[in-house]
Amino acid sequence: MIRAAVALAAALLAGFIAFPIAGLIFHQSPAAFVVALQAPSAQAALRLSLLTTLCSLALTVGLGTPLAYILARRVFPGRALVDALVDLPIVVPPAVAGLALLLAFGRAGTLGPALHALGINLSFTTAAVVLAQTFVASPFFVRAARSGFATVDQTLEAASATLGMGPLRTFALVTIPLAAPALTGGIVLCWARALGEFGATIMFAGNLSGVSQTLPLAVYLDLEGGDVAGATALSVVLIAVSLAVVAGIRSVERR
Amino acid sequence: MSLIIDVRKQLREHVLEVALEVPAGVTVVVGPSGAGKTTLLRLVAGLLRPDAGEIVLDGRTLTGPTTFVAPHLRNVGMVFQEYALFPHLSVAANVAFGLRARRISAPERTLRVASVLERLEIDQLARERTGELSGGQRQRVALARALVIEPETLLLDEPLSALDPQTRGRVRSELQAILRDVSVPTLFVTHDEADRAAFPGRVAVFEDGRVSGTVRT
Amino acid sequence: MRRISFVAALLCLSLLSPLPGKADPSSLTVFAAASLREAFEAAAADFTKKTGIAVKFSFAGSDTLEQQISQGAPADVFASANLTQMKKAADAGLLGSEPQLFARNRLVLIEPKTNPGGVNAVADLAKAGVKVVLAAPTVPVGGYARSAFKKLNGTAGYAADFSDAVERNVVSNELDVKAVASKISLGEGDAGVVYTTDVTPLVATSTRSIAFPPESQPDAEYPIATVKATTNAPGAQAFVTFVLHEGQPYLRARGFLAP
Repeated sequence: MIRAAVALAAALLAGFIAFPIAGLIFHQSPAAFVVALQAPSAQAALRLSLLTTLCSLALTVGLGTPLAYILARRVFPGRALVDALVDLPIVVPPAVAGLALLLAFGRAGTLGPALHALGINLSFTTAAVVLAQTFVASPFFVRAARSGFATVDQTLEAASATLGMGPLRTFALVTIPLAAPALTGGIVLCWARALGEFGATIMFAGNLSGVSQTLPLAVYLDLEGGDVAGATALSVVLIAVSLAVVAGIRSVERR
Repeated sequence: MSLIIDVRKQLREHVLEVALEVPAGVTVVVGPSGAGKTTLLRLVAGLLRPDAGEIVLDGRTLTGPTTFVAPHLRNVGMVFQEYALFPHLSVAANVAFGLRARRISAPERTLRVASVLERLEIDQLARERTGELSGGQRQRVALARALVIEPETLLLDEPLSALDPQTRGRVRSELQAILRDVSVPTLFVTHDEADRAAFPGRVAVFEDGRVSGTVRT
Repeated sequence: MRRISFVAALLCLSLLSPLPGKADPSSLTVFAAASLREAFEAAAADFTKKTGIAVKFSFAGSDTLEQQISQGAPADVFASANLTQMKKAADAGLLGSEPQLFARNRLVLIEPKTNPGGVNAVADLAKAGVKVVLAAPTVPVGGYARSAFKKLNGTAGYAADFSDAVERNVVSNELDVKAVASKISLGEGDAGVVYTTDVTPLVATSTRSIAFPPESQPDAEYPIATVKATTNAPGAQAFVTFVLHEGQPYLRARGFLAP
């Protein structure tokens, strides 16, 4: 009796998730799907999403790796605070994140005049999209990397040192490979979050095809404008990518 | 050819004081758990700094009041207690690691690795992952990895304690044979009295955190 | 096959959401254009006092609202900022009554108080480098703005391709008029087009307004109608009637024109 109830509950939830997605995928014919994807605005959104997420990923990994390493290995005053700060963007609603970015880096924001003096204007630019994505998505990587670095056996790093490898080579040849599963998982999650980012992007970077209209924004705008075919096609692309991401994480975890 | 250790370091419950002159060949350092045996080796390797004192190898000051040579520049060969083999590399890659650090060319690395693996009779394991090896095999890989770089001093941290009692005796004899050919100052640190008997010659004993000189058995 | 799974998807969703279809005479859900927020919230307070019916609002771009209603969102009343979206809803058979005009609005150009873009007249929107913030074309105010620009093409003081030049200067297509107002209030963008009713006292503290030439003002007409799928038909009708009569002062007080 209990087993039947458990199975029913499981089936309900699985069905709840599967049905809307299946409905979306089967909503239009493959031919209509291809046609919708060839629209210039769809192409622009795809290209922009690819470009911006790769940039934000590079920024995150580049700056986040040293940060994660320090958080994992060094004890310093204020470490708990930095730890909490790093995790904060995960719980902050995206629109709030967007507003915060605007108030900090916008033209009239705290750093606005300083940036302007340097000739930098972030408002309504693709750079702003990258920053918004980095803000909301980097915690996913830093958390995973921090955890990965913390679990690497430091005796192995000591052995590497005694064998003659300097700190950087030890990091590259021992630490990174051993933390690789965690790092990979973090990269994948971070990228997926950046790809789906909407609220902070539209707040901070605005919405303009080819400049700031990423895939999620394009879906919303298409729908708003009554172009259900376009919205559906782009949604299917996003779902396909998300499925690939999830499959990717699972296979990395299994290793 | 000698290793001079004259250091002091505050440990958790006592002060470690070492005054040793280690000549070429094996010197066994005996002491109970917690005495500071591993710390001693880590100090020589440069993984730790003492509170005071110096460490001089072949006339070159590695650790001193105004000097500290980083561990990767010390040319020491160390065998860790749990062997610290790199799990993501094969046996051959593990053994070649120190040669890679010294930027020895790939062909040359292959030659030297093959030679030392043969000498330690583990050449058939070259392609194996380290995770599937027995305790005795892992010990030999760790030893090969430390020997192939031709270090100026060899540090062995309880090399037999990770083995089960049956294997220990056999491996001890093998170790004796291998170390007979080693001509650099070698510190063999252990808590096992049986090891002391296996390497007659030089023995240093920990007493209340202090180990100094050598005592002939 | 496709329609079946689509419908099945919606059915499953609706099964798992709080049961709609239960008539609740004491509450209403009104979908209204974003520009109506302040006026409608004030009017609704009065309506609730007089009738005892609580009113819940969903304010957004009228195009978004129309989409949501057509996908089955639980609205009782629909108040749009243009006839286009209301007509779409009517054509799709979504309405429960004939749309009636209840207000008109006018466009105004706003800019940050410090005038960072050097915009002093509507004509300046075509100057190179000016950052123009508009609502998306399918949002009523976005459509009105663009038709206003088109009307100015070739008139005195405006080039023949004025509207194209302005479109090239657009840096963002916001989702509703309030987002445009917020951006300009925050100092982002050099100028934006909103309704005069959106220049609330709060917005006025951080912006400057510039009037559109009267002949370019579009007919920004606001229709209201009940939604066919309403679960509170009498209440919905009562609200519509209220907006058309007793609620008018609230609209007028915030700058809306008579229908």
